[in-house]
Amino acid sequence: MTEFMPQVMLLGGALVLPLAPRATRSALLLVFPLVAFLLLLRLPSGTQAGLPFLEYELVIIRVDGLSLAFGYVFTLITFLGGLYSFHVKDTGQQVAALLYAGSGLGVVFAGDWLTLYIFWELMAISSVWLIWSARDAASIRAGMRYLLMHLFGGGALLAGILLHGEQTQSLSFNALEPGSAAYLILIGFAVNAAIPPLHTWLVDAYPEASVTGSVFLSAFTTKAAVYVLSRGFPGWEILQILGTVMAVYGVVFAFLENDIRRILAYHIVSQVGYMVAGVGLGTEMALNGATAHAFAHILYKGLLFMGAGAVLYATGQRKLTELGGLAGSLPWVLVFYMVGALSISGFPLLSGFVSKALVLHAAHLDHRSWMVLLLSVASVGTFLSVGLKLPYFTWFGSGRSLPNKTVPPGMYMAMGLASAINLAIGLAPELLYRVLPFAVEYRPYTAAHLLETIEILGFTGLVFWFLRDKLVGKATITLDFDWFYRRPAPILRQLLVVGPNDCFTFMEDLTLAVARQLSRLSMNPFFAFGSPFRSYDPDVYRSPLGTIVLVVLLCVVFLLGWRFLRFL
Amino acid sequence: MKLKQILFVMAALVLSIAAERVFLGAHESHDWWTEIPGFFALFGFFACLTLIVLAKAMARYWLQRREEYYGREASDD
Repeated sequence: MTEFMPQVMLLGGALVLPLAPRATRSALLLVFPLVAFLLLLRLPSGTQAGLPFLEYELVIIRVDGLSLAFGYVFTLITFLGGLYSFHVKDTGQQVAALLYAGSGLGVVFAGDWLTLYIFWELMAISSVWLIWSARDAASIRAGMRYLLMHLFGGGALLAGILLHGEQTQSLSFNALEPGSAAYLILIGFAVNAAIPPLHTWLVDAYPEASVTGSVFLSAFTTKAAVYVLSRGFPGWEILQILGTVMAVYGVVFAFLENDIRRILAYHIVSQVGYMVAGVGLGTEMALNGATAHAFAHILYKGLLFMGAGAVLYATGQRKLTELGGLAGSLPWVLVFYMVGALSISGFPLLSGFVSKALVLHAAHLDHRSWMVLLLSVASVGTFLSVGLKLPYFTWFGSGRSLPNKTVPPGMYMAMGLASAINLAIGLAPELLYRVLPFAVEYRPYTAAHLLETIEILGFTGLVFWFLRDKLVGKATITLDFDWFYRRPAPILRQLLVVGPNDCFTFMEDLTLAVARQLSRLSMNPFFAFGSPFRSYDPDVYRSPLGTIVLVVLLCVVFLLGWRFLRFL
Repeated sequence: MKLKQILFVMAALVLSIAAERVFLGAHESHDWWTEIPGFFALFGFFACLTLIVLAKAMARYWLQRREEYYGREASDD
């Protein structure tokens, strides 16, 4: 049973937490992931464990190097996120965070398609709670759109799984051969990996989540997708192209954004592009690179969302056009944010440098020069937006925003710890390389690589410095693929909801009018010839008694006359 | 660009090429362009410039809208 324990710690923890005394819940959100992490360290590679289900034997736990690497970092970021949200007294968010992390862990240890699917959907449902916990109109609507996208992806995945199960008579989760089932599953995975044009849920919903929720959100969904892609689709050439395109796509759109958390969200798309491209290459070096980059990415992206969240928490502002001059009031947030920003930009001595290098080296070994160049362009764009523009206009710049709340110590501790881990990985890459699925023979710190990185980033910095006055954010939004469902939404609502509603109302009114007319006529057929009266008043309207007596008399006369004639 | 800025970029470029001469010996490479002196410096410079110009142009003539484009929900939270 011990092999189930890491998942039981998180998923069971989600059930136990609301029953515990209110004061201990924040601490429990730290204890559960920490214990799960320690249990994972003792879980030997090669372990398998399952449960019987109908005529199938579900493989709930399949442990190997790839799943362990993701498992370690998932539990680690849950702990850091728990520390960051230590001040939050919202049981719903705490339970959702544990469920989300537990189902993420479930996905990376799932050994068969059915288990994978169940945890996949649980991840979508628990994560939307973290978006809705911002409790405003924008987050509710963005969460709804997020859920619809994931339902679409989950539907494609389930259809693919059923088709695959029927074709192969097996549910075991391994690399797929091209075919209709594989394409459906790929669409399902692509939604979660945020591959354009299916990436819009991410940049739409993550910036609307609660301050602490977005830290958890940035970690699991996309990286679980990278894991399943490297398990199911290693070496698929289309992923090389999609990954490279999304790396550049993300930085271009991030550059145009004004909302700081949306800038970071677009950079998730861009960074996941490196991983998807690595999976597409499919060599041992490339899969190592994708895994290493996912590992480092979770740590520095979590840190970046913590920094941006701290700014939002303290000032209530999240737009570059409204922020500025925070260097004096939030200096430590700036320091920790910059550790994350320099990591994501791939600065030497930090985690991004040693993980990104693996992907680039793998592309280099495979003679994919176009990929190396385009991914380097993405690096330039990353440093420009996350490393220079965002911090410059938030902490310096001409704007003046003042914090009206103090940042709680838990937030600082989480940011400090995350910074320390990023620095540790950068200084001692073996720490990271040791947990990768394949043995690594690569040294990131060579003179050539160092000089190359410093030249690229240094000249990017020069361009920013010269043009910084022209790069001031604008209070605008940039259209993306979500235009295709957000813009026609009012028209569809008109067509499918308002239209039929109007039609029903019209028919109802018509029926009632006809009934009213008929009842009027049956009360007095003379109305058919028009009426001098506006409305029916029995006293005015009733025919005079004389008329009735006359009609009766005429009838009697007629009947008598008729009888009389018959007798003749 | 002002003259001062151009001089500054030139100085940085010369410094980069000098560093390459000092620190890098002959190393195997698949791509001819990595042999160009100061290639990565020029790459960083022009990639950044192109990215800014292209993104700005794309936004200005095609994709940029006012914040209330999708209704008022974005601004009244």
